[in-house]
Amino acid sequence: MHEDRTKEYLHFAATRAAPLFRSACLLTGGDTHLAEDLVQETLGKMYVTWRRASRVGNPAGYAQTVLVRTFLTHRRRRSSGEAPVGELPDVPTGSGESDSDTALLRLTLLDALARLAPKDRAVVVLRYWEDRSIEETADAMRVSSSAVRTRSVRALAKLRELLGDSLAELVSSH
Amino acid sequence: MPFEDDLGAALRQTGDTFSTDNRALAAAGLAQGRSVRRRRTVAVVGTVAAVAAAVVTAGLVVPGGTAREVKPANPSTPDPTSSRIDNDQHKGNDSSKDKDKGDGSSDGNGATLGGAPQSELFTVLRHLLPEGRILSGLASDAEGTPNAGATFAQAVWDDGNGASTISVSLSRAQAGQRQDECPDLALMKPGTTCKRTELPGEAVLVVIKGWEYQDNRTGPKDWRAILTTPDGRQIQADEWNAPAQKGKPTTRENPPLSAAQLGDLVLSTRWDRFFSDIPEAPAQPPQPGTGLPSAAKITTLLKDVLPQRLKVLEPGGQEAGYQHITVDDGHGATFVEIDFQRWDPADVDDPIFTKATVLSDGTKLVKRSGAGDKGGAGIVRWTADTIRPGGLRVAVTAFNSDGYHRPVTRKTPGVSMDELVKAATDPRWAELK
Repeated sequence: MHEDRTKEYLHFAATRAAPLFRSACLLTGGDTHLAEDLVQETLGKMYVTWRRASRVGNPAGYAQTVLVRTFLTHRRRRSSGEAPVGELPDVPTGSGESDSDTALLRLTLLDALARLAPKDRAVVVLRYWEDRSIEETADAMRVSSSAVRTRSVRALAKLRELLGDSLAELVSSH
Repeated sequence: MPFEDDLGAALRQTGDTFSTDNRALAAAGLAQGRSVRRRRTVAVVGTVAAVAAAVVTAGLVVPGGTAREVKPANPSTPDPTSSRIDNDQHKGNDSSKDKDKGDGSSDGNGATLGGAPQSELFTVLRHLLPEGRILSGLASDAEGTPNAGATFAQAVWDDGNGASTISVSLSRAQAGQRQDECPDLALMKPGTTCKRTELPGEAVLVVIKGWEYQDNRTGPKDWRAILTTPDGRQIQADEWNAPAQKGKPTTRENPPLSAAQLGDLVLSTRWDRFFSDIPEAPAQPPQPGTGLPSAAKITTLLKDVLPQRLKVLEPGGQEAGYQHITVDDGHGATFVEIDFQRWDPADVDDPIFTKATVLSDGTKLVKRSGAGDKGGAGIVRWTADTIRPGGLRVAVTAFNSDGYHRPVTRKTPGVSMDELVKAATDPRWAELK
């Protein structure tokens, strides 16, 4: 790769690694090891196609799409059902009530996400974490808009069932 | 609050608690990408030196870390057969002047260099600089690990006329990966200059005076000197007219060292001893049969597949798998570039081709048109991007300018989209060896 492009890529990778990792952690239901693998693979794909990828209007958004597709492909490759929820990484150090609330919210939410089917989880992450529209979500997942709507309704119902009112309480405690 | 809003808030609060070693992750992504690229036989261009500089530019290197023991610099003995010089002797510096530049923990004014590396490499860099005040510094290896086995050092210093940044990186490179030629100035910011000097002993010195950013963004100037020896040693020094490579305003019109001084810096024999710790560059992966055709062959065929009414003004491009030419149909110059790559056939479903039209022979075609992201107002870019079932990717792009970052020469490119498609899908690309 041309040196300037390598520079450009590395700057991109350095600034996007954290957001990608956060998305990947939600996609994997908190499996941070798998999340790292997914981000690594995503950044690798971005490197390979960087000449073109860097010219799209929003390479950061493009990378997020690549991440989601990598995640879904990974699921297909594993074809072994749900991956176990990995050991949750340590909650940021600190003390006090707010930290325990953060930890509780995290555990509760990740547990609920991990119970969703991978594609449902991807819909939730794209729609409610990345704030993508139905159409954008469909494009990222290479499915129809109606399929996204169906999955979205199903996922929200499941999450309501799992989280109930506790979600509002946990969120409002912050 | 609706459940969806609570969910969004919960995702944000939870997502934000995850953190990882971004630097390591970015480096891992780079390594994986390179590995894939090699498998695809798309030549990897660039050198360890470039990567080292880029890694730091990207903010992947943090100052501080494990400090190395400070040792007095060994007096260097110039090689009588070499064209290189000992800068201290050349400039008549003495140790008392060196002391004024600090000892790694303080500068000449007694200011603490909070976290400045005390590596030998940094020490040499500091000693080779003219008088000035060291404000901060760092050193790392090629992968960005602070200090240990440092092959990269950087200082922010002020010679009294404004703070600036200067860095040096050492590497080895195999033939074909060395930066011993001037870069393709058509791809650089207008006004960039380059001077290439062949030195006695077959060493080559390349000095580039350009900018940090190659597009229209404002940013500091980046002046660079690269010395390459016949055995593949590379010493690269960069300096910027700002206290940071990016993100801080410039402090002076030009970087502090002249091109000649920057050249002298990389020519110092005081860098020699560090190369004993730098392993030989890995051999390039063998590519006969599966490699990319030569630049000349790609350029020749590109001319053939474009409309013959076009007059070729300027052929160019040095990067494997990438070439460009500037053509004119009598109504203004058009910059045409081509990417020629061989992909793993399993990767033809890459997101780039998600919305492709599939041609009768299975080739996937994507047409793109839009504003150029590397130019000024009015830049139009048209691209015909194709990938064939076997993995051969040919993308031909035309601009309504005569190069990157150049003003427009006409309203639209002088090669139509249909003509670009015809050029990209020409069957002769598949036969190119």
